[in-house]
Amino acid sequence: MSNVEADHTRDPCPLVIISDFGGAFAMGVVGGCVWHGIKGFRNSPLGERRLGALSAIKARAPVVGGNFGVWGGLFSTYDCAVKAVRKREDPWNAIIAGFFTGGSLAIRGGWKHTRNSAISCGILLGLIEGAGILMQKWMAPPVQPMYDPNAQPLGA
Amino acid sequence: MSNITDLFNPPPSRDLSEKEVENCFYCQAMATITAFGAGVYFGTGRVFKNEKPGVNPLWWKKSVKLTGVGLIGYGIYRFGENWLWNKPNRD
Repeated sequence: MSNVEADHTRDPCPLVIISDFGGAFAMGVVGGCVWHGIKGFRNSPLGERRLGALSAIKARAPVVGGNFGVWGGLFSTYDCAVKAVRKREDPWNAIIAGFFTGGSLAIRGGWKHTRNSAISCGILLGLIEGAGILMQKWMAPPVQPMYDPNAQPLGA
Repeated sequence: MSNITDLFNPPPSRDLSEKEVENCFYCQAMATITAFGAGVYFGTGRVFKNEKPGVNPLWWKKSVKLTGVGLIGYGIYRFGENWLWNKPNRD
């Protein structure tokens, strides 16, 4: 679909879920390469360090990417679902989506683990949202007073 | 166009218009696939395969299975919506 044909009046859901899954996977793979590359390098004996780093990256980076991808995809799915149900776009969507994502990912660990993980994830996303809003307010330019050219001069 | 980047740069709060949340083919396909996938995973008990003993109480397992069955039902409902039932009025 070309940009001319794209329907920009519609919310990007649900295709944004696939894009978020891919983006999160890529981010995880890049981060995993750096993290496990350094770790593999440090934990290998002298003379084998480059090979050790490469082996660690090959073994672990796709796993980190997969974990990130699953989180991103689930979060985006829940965010779209919450948006569709509430018919409103505000920070609560992300908090509720984070709550469900945390809970879903911990479901195999038992109900206590699920509950704790859901609450922690919801709080974490609330903090991120709050920080984002504060940053936006801090970066926004100050409101300039409007000048009305037809206004009567004061005094005189 | 990402729900994850919107976390760090949140858009202003607003009510979505009917046009923005109306049903579409992709929405229905995605909802059907997700509900069926999650429903089968939860409903068949695969979610508790190779679990540590004693971690998941019986009521929890039953609740998860019931959620799975509900999701399968929702998947069937979404699959048939607009062409088998809940047909849009074309008058």
